[in-house]
Amino acid sequence: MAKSDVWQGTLALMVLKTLETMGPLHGYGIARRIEQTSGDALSINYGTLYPALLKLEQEGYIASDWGMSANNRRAKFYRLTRAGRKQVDRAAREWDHTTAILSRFLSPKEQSS
Amino acid sequence: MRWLRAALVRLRGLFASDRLERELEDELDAHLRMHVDDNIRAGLAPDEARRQAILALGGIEQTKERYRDRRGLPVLEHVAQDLRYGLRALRKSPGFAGVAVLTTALGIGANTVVFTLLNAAILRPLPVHEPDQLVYLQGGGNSYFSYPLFERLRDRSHTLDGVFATTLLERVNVVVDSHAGVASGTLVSGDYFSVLGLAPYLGRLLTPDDDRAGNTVAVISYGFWRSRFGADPAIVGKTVAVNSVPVTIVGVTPPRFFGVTVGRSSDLTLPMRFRDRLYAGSGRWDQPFITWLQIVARLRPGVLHDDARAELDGIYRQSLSEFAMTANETDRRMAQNAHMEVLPASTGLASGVQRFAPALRLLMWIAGVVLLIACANSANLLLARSEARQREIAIRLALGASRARLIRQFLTESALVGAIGGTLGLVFAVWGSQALTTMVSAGPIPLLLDAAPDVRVLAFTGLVSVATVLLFGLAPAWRATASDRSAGLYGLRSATGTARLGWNNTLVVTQVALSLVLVIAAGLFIRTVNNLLAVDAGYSRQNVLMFSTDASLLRYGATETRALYDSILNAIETLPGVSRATASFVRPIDSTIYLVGGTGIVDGRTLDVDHRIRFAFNVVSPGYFSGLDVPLVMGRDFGPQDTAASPKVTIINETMARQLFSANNPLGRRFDGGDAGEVEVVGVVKDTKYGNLLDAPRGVVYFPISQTPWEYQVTFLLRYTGAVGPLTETVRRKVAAIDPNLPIYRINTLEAEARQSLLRQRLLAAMSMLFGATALLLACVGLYGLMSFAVARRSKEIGVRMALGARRGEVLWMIVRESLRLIGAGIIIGVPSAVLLMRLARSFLFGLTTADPLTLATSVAALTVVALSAAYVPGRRASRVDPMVALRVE
Repeated sequence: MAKSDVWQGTLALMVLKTLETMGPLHGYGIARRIEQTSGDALSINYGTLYPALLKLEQEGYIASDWGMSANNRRAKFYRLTRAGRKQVDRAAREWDHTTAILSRFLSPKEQSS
Repeated sequence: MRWLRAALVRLRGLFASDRLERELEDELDAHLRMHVDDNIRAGLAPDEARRQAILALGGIEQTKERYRDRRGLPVLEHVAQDLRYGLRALRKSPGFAGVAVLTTALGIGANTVVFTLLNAAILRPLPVHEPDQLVYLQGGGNSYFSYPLFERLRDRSHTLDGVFATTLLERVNVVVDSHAGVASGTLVSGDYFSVLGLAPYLGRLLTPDDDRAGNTVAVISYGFWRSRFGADPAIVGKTVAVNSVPVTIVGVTPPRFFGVTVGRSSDLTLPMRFRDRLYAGSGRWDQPFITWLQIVARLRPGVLHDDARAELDGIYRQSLSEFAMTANETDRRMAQNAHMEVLPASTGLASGVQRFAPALRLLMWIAGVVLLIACANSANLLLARSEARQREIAIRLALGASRARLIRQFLTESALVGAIGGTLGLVFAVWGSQALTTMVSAGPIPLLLDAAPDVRVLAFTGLVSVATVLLFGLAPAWRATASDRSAGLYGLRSATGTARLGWNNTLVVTQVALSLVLVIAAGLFIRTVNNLLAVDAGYSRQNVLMFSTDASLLRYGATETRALYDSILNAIETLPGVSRATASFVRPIDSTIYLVGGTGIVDGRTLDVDHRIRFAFNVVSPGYFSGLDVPLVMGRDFGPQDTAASPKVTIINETMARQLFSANNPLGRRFDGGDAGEVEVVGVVKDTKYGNLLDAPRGVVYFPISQTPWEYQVTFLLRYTGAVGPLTETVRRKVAAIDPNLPIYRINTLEAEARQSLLRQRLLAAMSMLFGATALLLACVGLYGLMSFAVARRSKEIGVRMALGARRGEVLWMIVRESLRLIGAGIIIGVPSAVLLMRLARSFLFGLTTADPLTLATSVAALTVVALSAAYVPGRRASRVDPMVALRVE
């Protein structure tokens, strides 16, 4: 349970960050973009993306509209809301904070003997 | 608050599911198409491209399912689903549903009825402002205080926010538009309503300004306003006559307010000073040792109970020592040792109602046992049903339903049964408690209880229902889902089947034992009432009609009163069907009038103070003893020769004769009869019960009515033949002809009054009988269900036996024998439990022990007969099994 929560949290941040840099994007595009950005190191099950998108939408961080994709397919496009933009900053800061703390534990030079 | 927003959106998702479902479909479709396009562009064949895309997605349906879980509120959806499913399942087996619901309703209803009464009698707080701050005072163990003391407490205390005094007026005569009728009243000090913090329903309530000599205003209760005034909206300002004093009605109290004395509704509330208008020359206002007022106070917020007690005790003791300077010896001794107690009054002041509390508590236990039996029944039914649903359960488990999910499903079904049963039980209870309060208020002293269900009752019922559901639902659900999957799937009955039946057996034996305990309890209580009714009161109760009246209600003087009572006696004596009519100051059986006196001079010899002889006395007219069949042991009855002018005479009972004169002949002897002066004994009668049927024998002195001045209540007794109804009417007419304004009340036969005086005991007997019968019925349903189930399960075996030559009688005996074993086990456990448990209720029994052989034998016999007849039906069904049909199954 805890493991999936962490995953959910990071996935949400990845989605938000992607939408921030890329602008409005459909689910497939977001999935591919995350895959590319991670340098293909992260292989996500595309199916898990949709509940995550729904959750963000329910929380009001993103909104969706139907539109046309680059190769003329009708698709649902997601975009950041104002609350979403703030959330990207906040979540990113928290993430930095957490990783900073964690790295202090993990990097040997910080250890005092 | 993000989660709240999300929850709201998801809640909406529950309802717009069709549209959202289509959108999801479209979105996933678009996703796949784009992925397929990309894959094709990357050089895959179309089929392979699609396969890869779906793989990457993680399955279309799986994604949808995950998405849906996020969209709506899955918990709610599951509950709704379970409810729908449960309702369908119950509808599909109406027999099971009906029995389960009724069983639960009976169990819950029984508990709610008793709780409603208990609530009304002792638990419900007064419907006033902040009842928790109210306290009542007790001085030296006495709840009544004198007026001077009340004034001091009121004026000197700093821990109280307000204090008032109140006293009940037993009975007043209210003439409304020239119709006389008896009503109950309360006298209150001016602060009464402001301390209680009540708002008027109509008009205004009493204020300190009203409580002044000469003011004649009154407030009436909502009930009295409706019953006596037809809810007249123009009631305020109306004038009525209260004991012939014109009184103006200034307001109506709120509907739920019945006064501060629980169980005694007060029709009229009058300012205390009104007492001067009712009773001439009542100099009570400055009498420090005449205690007649109950005092209720509101503690100032933040004041500790102990601080208030300390302060009030100080005022009390100081006042008493001031008063005692002018007091006599006994009062002074009292004043030295008395202390003030401060007691909570949030539920009102004590009255007769509290006498019912122990019986009600006992009934609460009995009702609890009924509920336990009902639970056992429902649990048994559910167990049997889950057996029948083995296959369904096994299939669902095999398809991947989690055990928790299945248990939830089972509990939902139980909860449905509990909810429907609880609601039905509440309906039973409202209905039952109304019937019961009617019964309670039919007593010789009417008790008024507000039995309307309130929040407490509803909460109680809800709690009991939930407990019931958990009790009867959880175990079967647990067991049912713990089954061996494959065995259930293939329809095999494994060893677990027998184990489960063992459970059923235990439940049924428990039920039989518990119901036997209740039946025995009921038997003991019924025998108690019979024993009480059979108590020899010393007089004959048959064919005696009595009624009371009170000339003081019309403010008659002494001579007028004598003339009035004489003319009533003359008028009713000559009525057809009346063989004798007499008058008595003390109303038989009643214990509200207890006249006590004492003598210090016997045969001219003065007894020293410690050897004074106390006695109860009564004043009767000639013919009283022969009218009630009280044998005259020696001497003569009172007669016309005993007049106000002739020498004072008396008749005493045998106990009195022994106390006064030992073994000597009492006739012609004299003693000092208190107010009557020196009296001569002219007769001796057998002992009778002075008041209450349970009174111990005691010395009683009778004075002739012609030699005793009296202005208060008198009771007329008529020995009659024929029907009592028409006689009652004739009596009313005759009395009205003498004085139309004179109210006569409590018209009743002596026999009925004796029965009513045993109200508490009869209530206990009737309720425990009802509960015992219910318990027995439920136990039989349990037994019947178990046996039917066993027969159905064993039909193949029975078929084989019969095919091998077993006769029908043998098969029937086989089933009955099994039932007998269960019943026997129940009896073996039940009888000793009853004998032991009833020891706790010994104070409720009269004239028998808890091991009363007659009660035990009858109860066991009744249980056996009823239970066996319940077992006979399935036994008969077993004996009718057609071996061919039974063996062809499968």
